[in-house]
Amino acid sequence: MDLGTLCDGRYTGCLLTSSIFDMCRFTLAAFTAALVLASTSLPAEDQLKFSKRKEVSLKDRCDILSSQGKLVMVPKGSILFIPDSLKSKVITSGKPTGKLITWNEFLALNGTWIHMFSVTFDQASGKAKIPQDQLESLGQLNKIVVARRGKNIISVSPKALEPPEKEKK
Amino acid sequence: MKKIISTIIITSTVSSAVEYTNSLLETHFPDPNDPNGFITTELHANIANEDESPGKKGVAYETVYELWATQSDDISVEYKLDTKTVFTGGPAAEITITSADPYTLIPRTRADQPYTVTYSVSDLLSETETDDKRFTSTILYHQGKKANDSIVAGSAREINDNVTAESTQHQPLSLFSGSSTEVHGVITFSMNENVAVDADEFASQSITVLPKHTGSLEGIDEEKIYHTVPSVTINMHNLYPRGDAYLVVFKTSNKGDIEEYRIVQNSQLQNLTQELKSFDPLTISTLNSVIDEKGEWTLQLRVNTPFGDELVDEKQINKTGNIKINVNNVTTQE
Repeated sequence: MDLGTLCDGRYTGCLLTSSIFDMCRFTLAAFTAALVLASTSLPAEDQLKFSKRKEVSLKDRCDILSSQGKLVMVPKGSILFIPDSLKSKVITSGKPTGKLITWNEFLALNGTWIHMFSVTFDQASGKAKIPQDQLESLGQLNKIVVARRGKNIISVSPKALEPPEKEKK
Repeated sequence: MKKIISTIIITSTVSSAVEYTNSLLETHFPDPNDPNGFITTELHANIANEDESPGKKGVAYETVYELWATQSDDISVEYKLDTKTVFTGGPAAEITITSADPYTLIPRTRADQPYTVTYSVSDLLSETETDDKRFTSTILYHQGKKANDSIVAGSAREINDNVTAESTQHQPLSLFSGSSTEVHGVITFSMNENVAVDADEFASQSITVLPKHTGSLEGIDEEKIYHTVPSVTINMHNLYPRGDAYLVVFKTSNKGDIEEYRIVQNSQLQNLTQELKSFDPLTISTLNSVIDEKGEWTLQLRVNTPFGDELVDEKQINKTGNIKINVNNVTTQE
């Protein structure tokens, strides 16, 4: 698969291409390529300090919902509310068993106990608050509440869930 | 906030017996000068093998797009297929890697064969516009990962000027130590932010390095003179994808005259896969009908791969004519 981006004519990328079949040879281990490259291949005056961002696996960045042998991954922080009666739907430890499917497929099968809540990007990033009365209403639904923006599942900053400063006082 | 509309285009032409679920993740990094910045992660709800997923969000500061494949029956098995970083006002880059192997789905080469890295960098600002190195330069970095998961660090080089399709040639064994028949791994070139820590990639590409084949011919004693050509066994290991091996014979006096070369029937070993292939020993018992004249003959085990036609092993065999025996003398008849 290859991933292409077109950004209003301003940015084009030439991409890593790989096949799932051929990539089966390699496991994706999280590793940190933190190198101070005073490399023997560079003269002393060209020493570079360079450290790539640490790779984190997809699984470690997601929460996992499970139901009837099906699994779905959602970004950590996107589940806003879990009623006690549905805590078993969220896998918190051990190796999940079941078949991983897409969010749309999982929602179609389990829509009766999942509620999608739309947030703005500013709310997701914590620059804006989610009104407290809305949060209270979500807590009364007795459903697992998942944040979304458009069609995507999105994590929400804890700051967005806090009451406004004046209310705290 | 600069608004960059991005459309993510996903294509795949590979089917696999093992089922995978694809995920497209967008990670939005806040301005590092924002003390309250929160890293927002967004997962696209449904990714098909071929799809187009509009990223409607503006890129606030930096967004990293990642395409993942997770094995549907075992979520601990996952592969990051691609990654792309978009900055507001940042540089853009492209990297491609090619070799003599025309297979395009995943660049690959052999340990003893060169590959070419072509890169472009655009939208770098001049140092008169800003002294922020993130916008005036990038880092071209490469490293290798062997089949045993050990990492071999390459070099990091600062790119300070916009360049278009700059090409450099490399040898796998200049990064990986070992013999060409043993080296097996992946080399990745990436264009990165010029920052000391947590540098993100603008672009990257990897090339798979496969070990060179090994092979041999057995069954011929070059010191002996044969009346009947014995069976010959072909051994072939790690034949390159889409390559084939074959046995060819010719009179030694015709060496170099390809038209006199005879490919031995049923001696071909074909690798029709996209993986290395090793074969069980193949015994050829019909050489006596091919080597049909007395004299010195040469047997060659050859391979044909994207890198050309190559000799693997060679044996000489001396075949004699009829032997006449009488009571008192043993002679050979010309």
